[in-house]
Amino acid sequence: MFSILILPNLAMILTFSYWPTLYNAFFSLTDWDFVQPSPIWVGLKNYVDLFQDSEFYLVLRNTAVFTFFTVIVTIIGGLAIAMLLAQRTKISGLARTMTFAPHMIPGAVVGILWMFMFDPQYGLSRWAFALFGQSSPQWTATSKWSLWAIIIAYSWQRLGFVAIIYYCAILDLPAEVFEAARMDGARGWRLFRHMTYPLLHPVTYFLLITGIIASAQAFDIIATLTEGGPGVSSATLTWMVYQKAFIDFDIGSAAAQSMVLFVILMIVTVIQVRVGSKKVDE
Amino acid sequence: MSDLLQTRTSRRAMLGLLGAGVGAAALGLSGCTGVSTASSAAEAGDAKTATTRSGFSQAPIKVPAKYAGRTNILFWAPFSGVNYLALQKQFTQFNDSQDKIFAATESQADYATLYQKFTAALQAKVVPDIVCFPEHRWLQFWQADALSSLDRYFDKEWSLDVYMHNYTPEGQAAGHTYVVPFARSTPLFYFNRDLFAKAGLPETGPTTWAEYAEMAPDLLKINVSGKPLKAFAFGATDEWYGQSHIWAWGGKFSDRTTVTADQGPMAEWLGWMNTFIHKNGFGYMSQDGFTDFTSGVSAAAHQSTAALAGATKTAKFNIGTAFLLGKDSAGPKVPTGGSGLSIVRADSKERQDACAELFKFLARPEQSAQWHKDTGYLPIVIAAAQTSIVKNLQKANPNFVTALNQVKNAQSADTITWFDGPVDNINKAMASVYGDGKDPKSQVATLQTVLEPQMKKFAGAIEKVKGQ
Repeated sequence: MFSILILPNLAMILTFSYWPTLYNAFFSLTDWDFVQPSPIWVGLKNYVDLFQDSEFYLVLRNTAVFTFFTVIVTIIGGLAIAMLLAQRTKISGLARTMTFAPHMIPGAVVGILWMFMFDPQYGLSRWAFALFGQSSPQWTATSKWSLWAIIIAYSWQRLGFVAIIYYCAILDLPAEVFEAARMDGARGWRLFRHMTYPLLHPVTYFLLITGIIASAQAFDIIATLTEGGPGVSSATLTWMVYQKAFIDFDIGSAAAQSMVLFVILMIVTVIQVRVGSKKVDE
Repeated sequence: MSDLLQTRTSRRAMLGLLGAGVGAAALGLSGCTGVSTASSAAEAGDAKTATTRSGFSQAPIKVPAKYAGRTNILFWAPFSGVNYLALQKQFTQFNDSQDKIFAATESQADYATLYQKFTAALQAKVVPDIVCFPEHRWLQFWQADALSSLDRYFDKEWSLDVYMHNYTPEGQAAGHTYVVPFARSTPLFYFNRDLFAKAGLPETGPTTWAEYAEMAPDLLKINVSGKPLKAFAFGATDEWYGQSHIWAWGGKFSDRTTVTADQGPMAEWLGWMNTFIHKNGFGYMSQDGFTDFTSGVSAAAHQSTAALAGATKTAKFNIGTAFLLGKDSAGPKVPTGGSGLSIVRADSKERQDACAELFKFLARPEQSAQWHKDTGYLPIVIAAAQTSIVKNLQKANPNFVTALNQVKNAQSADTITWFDGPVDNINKAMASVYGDGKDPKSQVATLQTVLEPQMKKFAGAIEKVKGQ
């Protein structure tokens, strides 16, 4: 009976998750442009080319920097906002809504929104920097700033989600434990450091995993804001896969990059599961 | 990169999650057909001569009641906005001009989107009847036997002879014609005539980069919204204009199947631009150079002739146009741009014949002239220039004359730029100098090493085409 009940879901997962992955692994060993009748078998050539390509390492570095900063910024920022939201005031409801709102906006819209804000000629950035007598950086048009532009826009979008998850978790913390801690004289930073933060470890762990995976998959904001450029200065691995597959129509290379991304995420997740389960158990 | 070739993205589900959220990048290929979707060997062998192929049916098409009972054909058009409205007007005129054929058009936004959707359509074997790809970007589909030869439809009334001759070779491969010119263009130098007048500069605009560098300090003295005006807005995808620049500097990106980017002129040209932009501060890398131009932030920018009608409507100043700037002498060679019409090989000869009738209609001088007037694309049919529509237009807006006059300088782009991957890499090299001020010589050296293996991959296709 159990087998019959899980069969539909199992079939769906096999069809839509595992089969494409295997199919993709096959494509990574071929040369194909999506148009020719059939792919040509090239063995490991796509992987050899990929690991000999200096651009690939730049993109890997970009992916690591993007993931690191977006996860750190959203977790620290989200926790800080959640702590503020947990202080109940008359405008708490409005504040919660406003905090979560950016997460409800589609990524493409966020990209366009920030494209206008970053515009050094007539955007908000120009106004903000002019307040300090400075010119706005060319956020999306120079390599120096383009990666930071997508980090800022992406973090802004995800911050609300992280904050709301933390906020809900904080409300669920056992009140009696905090009461006891206060009776023992714990206040402010000490209370947060020794009580709140450790109790939020499972949530932090969840946000860390989902944050890393979501960052590694970020696409729409990059597509609308910088298209990975100039050069590859703001290209992440996901963007590079898209570009290879659907702009250059080099399906073999794109599939090989996808497999590398898959392996990286698999390794990161295994490490997190092992470290995380220990932490949570503690 | 061609004029309207935007690499804006249609969202695609790229990564499938595995298990507890581990990403599996699967390219969203689950919808694809099997590994070998090829037509049979016999069919492939006959492909160059066969006009139809079984198994490929027509994509869904909506037929208004008033046109019911006709042969229906569908055009997936890479146009939007003003240009798409102009296209619809042409199609309505065609549909009303006879009672046998109904031609429908569906906007696919831009070339990049059309490329993706047509690729998917071929996999699904549900295709439109007509497609429209820029320059040589149709070769990939020709190699896959997806396009039908048009030569059998040519007669005294309609043949390649009716079109501007420097635009017809791009539609041919191995001695056959697969594309007839339609929305063709050249790149232009657009400038703000009002700001030029304010700076005391000639209203005809500059003719060379050296001349423009002398004019630039006068333009920079003008303030726009509290900031000094910039002389020129460059973009991250300027390869199309770069093609003219490298020619002006005496070089080429490639010569037949040899990449020649590192032979000096490209580094020299990029070095000159580096000084113009970063040392002198005359230009800058913009998010969208033409938007900055039309909004008055920059005094000049590059864009296709196809943007002329739209820009004339939207800009709140007098637009001036000039030939692309040369290095030391005026009127450099410019790459041909824009796209032409192709018939897709599918299951119906009747529909293909109907497509040819549409092409003939669009090649009438009056239709070509109206298309030119409504969009800014060239009046690609030679006789269109003699129509009252074109003559009156040129009287009313001399900017339309510039593009026509520049046609004599237009020629097909270098072979390596026939393909998207290399174009993307040239754009990256240019952007690293234009935007970041990186050393041109090292960027060109890197580009050469990237382009060479790409050329190796495409050499066969180039030889096939050139061997016509």
